[in-house]
Amino acid sequence: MNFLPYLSTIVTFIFTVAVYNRYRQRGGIHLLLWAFGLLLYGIGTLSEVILGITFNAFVLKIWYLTGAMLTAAWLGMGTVHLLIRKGNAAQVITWVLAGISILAFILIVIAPVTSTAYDVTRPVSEQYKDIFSRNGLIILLTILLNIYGTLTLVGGAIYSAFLFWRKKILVNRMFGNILIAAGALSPAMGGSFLRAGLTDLLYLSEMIGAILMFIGFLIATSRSSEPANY
Amino acid sequence: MAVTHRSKRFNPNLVTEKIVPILLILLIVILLTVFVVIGLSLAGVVRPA
Repeated sequence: MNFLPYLSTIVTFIFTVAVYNRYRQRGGIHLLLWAFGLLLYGIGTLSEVILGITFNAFVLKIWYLTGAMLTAAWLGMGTVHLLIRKGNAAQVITWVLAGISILAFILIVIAPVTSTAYDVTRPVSEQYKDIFSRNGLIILLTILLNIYGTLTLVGGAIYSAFLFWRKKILVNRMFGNILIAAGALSPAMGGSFLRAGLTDLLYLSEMIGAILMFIGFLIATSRSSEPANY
Repeated sequence: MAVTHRSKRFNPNLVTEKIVPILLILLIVILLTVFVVIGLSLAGVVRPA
């Protein structure tokens, strides 16, 4: 199933451009943060493509930093900016996340990697624990960033869909948010499968996640939803 | 041309009245399950194969 990261990368980069174009047209820091989160998503899947061809310690680190640590958190940060409009809480959390991201980058850069056991025919998700030494702080940050990102991104989309359902308005945005929530849950489930030992489902969950979120975004931003914040 | 609030409303049907709430509950259940699996793996109950 090594072709899956190719599809995920193509879909995610197209999705990134679509969200960034919407930001250029309409503004809104949430769109910029979503585009940044999607760029990280795409870099993560692109790293899987490269690691399926050849081993490179730097690419492995970039894969872990983007895919395992930062993507969900920055996508969720966009949702926080969309939902929390009053005060400067969203800005403060953004700066805290930026600081944690820099710390994560430094920790990952200095973490030791051994390439001796790497096999390009097997998914990186199946092998990284044996060749990439993560200290306790990296593991703790990975868990906290993913809990924060999943909770805000998925929870925010479910909450938005619920509001549209309760008010009986903007049916496109209601269904769009349901798909975004389902799409965001997919890689989160893949991460849980990874923890449970089902390593080969991660690539599939990433591809399904990218496609569902993109369709959800397109539905939520379709013309009948105007004027929309998306 | 402005879009009025009324024009954005949709008429309730079977999908929006019955299926959407079930989907939302299902998503919440899956979200909670993800966190339970993370918690179990941290507690050492679920171990990688």
